[in-house]
Amino acid sequence: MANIIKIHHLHKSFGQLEVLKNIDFHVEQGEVITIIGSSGSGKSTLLRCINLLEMPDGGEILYHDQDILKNGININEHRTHVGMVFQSFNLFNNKNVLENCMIGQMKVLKRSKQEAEEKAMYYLEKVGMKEFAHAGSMQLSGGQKQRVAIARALCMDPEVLLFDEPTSALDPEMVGGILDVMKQLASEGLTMIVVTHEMAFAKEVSSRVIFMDQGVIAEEGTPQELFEKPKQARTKEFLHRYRSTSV
Amino acid sequence: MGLHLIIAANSTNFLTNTWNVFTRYHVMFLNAIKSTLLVAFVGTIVGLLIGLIIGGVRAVTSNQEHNQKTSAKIINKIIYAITSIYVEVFRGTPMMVQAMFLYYTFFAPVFKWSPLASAMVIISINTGAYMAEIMRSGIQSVDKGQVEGARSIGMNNFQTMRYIVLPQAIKNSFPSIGNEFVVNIKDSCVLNCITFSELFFAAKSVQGSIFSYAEPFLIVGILYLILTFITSRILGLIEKRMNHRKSSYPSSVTTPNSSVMKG
Repeated sequence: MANIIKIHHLHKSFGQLEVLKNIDFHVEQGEVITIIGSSGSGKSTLLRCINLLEMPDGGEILYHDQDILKNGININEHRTHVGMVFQSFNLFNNKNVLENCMIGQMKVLKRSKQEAEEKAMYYLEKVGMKEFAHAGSMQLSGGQKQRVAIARALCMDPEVLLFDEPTSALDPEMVGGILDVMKQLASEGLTMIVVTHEMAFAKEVSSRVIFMDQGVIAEEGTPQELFEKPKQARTKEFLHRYRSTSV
Repeated sequence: MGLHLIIAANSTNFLTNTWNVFTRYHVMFLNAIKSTLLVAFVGTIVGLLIGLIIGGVRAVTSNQEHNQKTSAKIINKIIYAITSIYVEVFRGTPMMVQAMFLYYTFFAPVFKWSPLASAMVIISINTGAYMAEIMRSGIQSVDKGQVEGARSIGMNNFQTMRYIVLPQAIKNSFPSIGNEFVVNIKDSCVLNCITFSELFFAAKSVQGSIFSYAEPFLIVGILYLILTFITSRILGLIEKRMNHRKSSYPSSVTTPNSSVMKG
């Protein structure tokens, strides 16, 4: 299996606060990696470093063996290959659903309007939002917004899709639908890195689980290894705390 | 009793006089209305364009990103400083002073511009300084997530501004932008000092002919009021329509704070 992303010795600080301390990991083609951990452990920052919404202070991020932190790398092009789905959706408020999915294709990938619209409708149908294509993005519910946001990201034909707590801002009854969409994408072989608090999803879908604690990868392994037989004390503690608060 | 009657008789007399002055000089007043509206409108539109550019530049350069190179940071600071000088100078001095200085130093003697052309340029530059601050705060009122969403699909800074941020910033600041137009209708009166014949100038001319202040200035006062009243109503309707469009914003949307408005 080919490594799509390799991360070596990644460091990131916000002022005095060291958020990522020497992170090393790699992602293979078709893998679904979930990153779990308590808030403030650096999960989201790590994810945001991968498509350079945050600039790391040190280390290497290799995308197909090319260091994207080096000068001369086209960051905008990199972002079309590594898409992102946000906790707060970030749909464009001044555009309707269809336009949200088309603008990147037309302005960044320079696709024709017709091609962009066809692709947008294809992915909107896939996420179950085809009939909302002409609705304003502010009229949608949270779950619907997140479906559109996923479609928007898919329209750019990314090789990897990053999910930053995609269900954390949703009403509980909306969560299942989004997770179903993500499961389907995973089954179709899309490479995904998912920061989540949905342990059942992590267990069921991921090929590997990474547990982060205080800016380091404390433990990583298959879902069976990590959830059934965690080695580290802090992993056990986290999982225990999680089970006692979520039910 | 007698005194009341005299006052009543006098005021009826005065109103009749005013009406007579208006009918006698109405061509002059109507032409002056055209000039006032033209200059206010051009000033607002050109000012908005200046404001979009300068405000956009200021919004971008005032955000020091941590991943910038030192050279980029210095260039940003210099650009920000230059735009600050423009904004501070034109917001910090009276438009009348700007008009007198620019017109009699450059526009009339050097460029040979007419009072109308000079008036348009002066009001545009002046409005631009206010618009720059309106747009800067309008841009900063757009949710940061909008920028991240745009960057995450590969849009560059310019595309993000052009297609995502500015349309929302203009919409958010529309009340302030409209307010500038109303302010310009009134404040264009100071441009009479460069012999530009707008409403105030017309009133002064009429006053010179009839040797009376009250009638002509009551007339232009009413005319200004009619102009600003109608304009505010129209702007209010546009604003209402914008907010009732299908992709409308939530009611809690941030509007630029009032401190940047011309006061």
